[in-house]
Amino acid sequence: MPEAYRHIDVAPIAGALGAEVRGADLSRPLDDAAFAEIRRAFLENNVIFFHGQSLTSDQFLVFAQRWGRIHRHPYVQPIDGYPDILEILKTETDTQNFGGRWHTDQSFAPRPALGTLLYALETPTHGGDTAFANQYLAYEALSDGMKAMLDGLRAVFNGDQVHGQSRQQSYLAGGSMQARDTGGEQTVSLHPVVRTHPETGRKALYVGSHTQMFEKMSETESLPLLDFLRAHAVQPEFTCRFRWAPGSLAFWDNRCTQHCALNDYPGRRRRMHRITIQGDVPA
Amino acid sequence: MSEAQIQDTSSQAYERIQVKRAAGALGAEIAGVDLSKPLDDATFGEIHRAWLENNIIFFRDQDLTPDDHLAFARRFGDIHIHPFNKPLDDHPEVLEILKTEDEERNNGGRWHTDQMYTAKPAKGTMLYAREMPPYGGDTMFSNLYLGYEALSDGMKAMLSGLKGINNGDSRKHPSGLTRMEREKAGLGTLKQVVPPPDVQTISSHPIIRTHPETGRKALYVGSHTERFDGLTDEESAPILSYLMELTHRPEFTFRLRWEVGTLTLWDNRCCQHFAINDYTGFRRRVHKVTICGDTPF
Repeated sequence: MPEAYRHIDVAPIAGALGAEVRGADLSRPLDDAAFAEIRRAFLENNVIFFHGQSLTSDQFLVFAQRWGRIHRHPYVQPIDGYPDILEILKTETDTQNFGGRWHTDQSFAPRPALGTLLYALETPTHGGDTAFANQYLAYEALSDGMKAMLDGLRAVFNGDQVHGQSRQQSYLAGGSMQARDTGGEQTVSLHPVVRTHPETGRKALYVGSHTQMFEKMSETESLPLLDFLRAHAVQPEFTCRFRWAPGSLAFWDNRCTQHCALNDYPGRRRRMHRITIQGDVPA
Repeated sequence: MSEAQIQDTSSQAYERIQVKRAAGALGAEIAGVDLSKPLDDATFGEIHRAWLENNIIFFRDQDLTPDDHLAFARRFGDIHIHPFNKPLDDHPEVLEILKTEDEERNNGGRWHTDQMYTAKPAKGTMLYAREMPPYGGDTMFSNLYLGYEALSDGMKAMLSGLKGINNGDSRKHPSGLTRMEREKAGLGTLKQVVPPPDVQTISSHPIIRTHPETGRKALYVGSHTERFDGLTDEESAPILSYLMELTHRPEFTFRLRWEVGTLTLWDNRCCQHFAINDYTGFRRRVHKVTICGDTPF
């Protein structure tokens, strides 16, 4: 069993991953001991949730910077005055949502985001939950033969393909998200399909909706196995589901989770602020 | 992800109960009711309407004996007897679903609708939580109306008139074994009985069924569906697996976290469900009563 917590309370919300962290006011500076426990809760639970927070953009940024340097999204326009903060907005009239397929953030970048902080400003009365899946468990549930087959295999992660459309096209089709020019930033990258978490040393399956094909294989050859892995990785036993309220903050580890934003709240508004933390080259 | 065709079903107001929707696709909490006491017809009428509008409803903090549980279930219809699972000794209409601290396998850990392999599948299932792990052991539900409505017109046309063969004891179970073989091999999750000879456990039902009370069409597939009637396994597999994937798209689902004393009632005519096995080392015990349904059409 893991060590006890002294500065915070940590309550798991499901068997696979996810825990609520209580007893932390993120608008105030955290001492090193409290922050170290939050970090441990994050690494042990893969995604952590805080309720009832009241943060200015500056306070949100200060908490985010405790985790590392900020990763800027190559495609999405940030909010005015805060180049590190994205607004994820779906209005009453939008039909598209952002992040509505199982994925890990910016896996198409050469150094994908370590983690993502999402802070809820406006949420619908019901609907708009986010589901998360534990990719350590997905890896561990594979047969020895499949593990051996995937060992050393790399895949192409393509950020510019959103269900067969380019980003620009997909953002224009029924959503409020504003695309920006990537300025030549790398948005297609090769990464291992099984990655080792640099902090925990555990192996995790690393596939998602950005995974286009295996290295040196055609898309047609890749698809049957990729589809299997994508479905395998998100089976209910590996998941948790978080219901938001204004003031909720989630922080997930992109190195060992996937997530999916549920688009089940037509006619209602949902607005979040997001900051991503820079990660390593997956190994 | 394109938007799901989700309707706001809160058509009329409720006067006797409070109905709090819990997700976009389906699921609502009913508050203001004590199910251990007899319900007047007006209150029952509102609960029934909430059930039809939300596909699955749940009540928190109920304190029920097996007789209370059965009395509430009987308001919805006659009790359906499970052909394979052994009931409680003193309550032959109540099944106990128990997973102990030492067991690894759970019951109902696939997307399915209850007893769809019988000639008249159970219309509703009422599950009451008696012991729960501190976390884990949630149940997921999916809305099969939305699954149907998400199909293209061409696919709807192709599936109309098609029937599925639903087998209650298929070797297509992930273990490759029948129920009795699993029990003998120590791989069972519940005590099994041999079904009475007059109970049908392989049945052909329409893939698209019309709900007899709401009149809405639903995609009627589940893990018991082996193939299409008149087609081979190989011919059926691609479309069937596509339909199964479609029915549990995240935006068509709701996930319930149980507490001791939670009672749920779901509508098997328009819902699938999945019992999540993520609580190894903890004990979970629920009581299940199912309500007789019609022949699907």
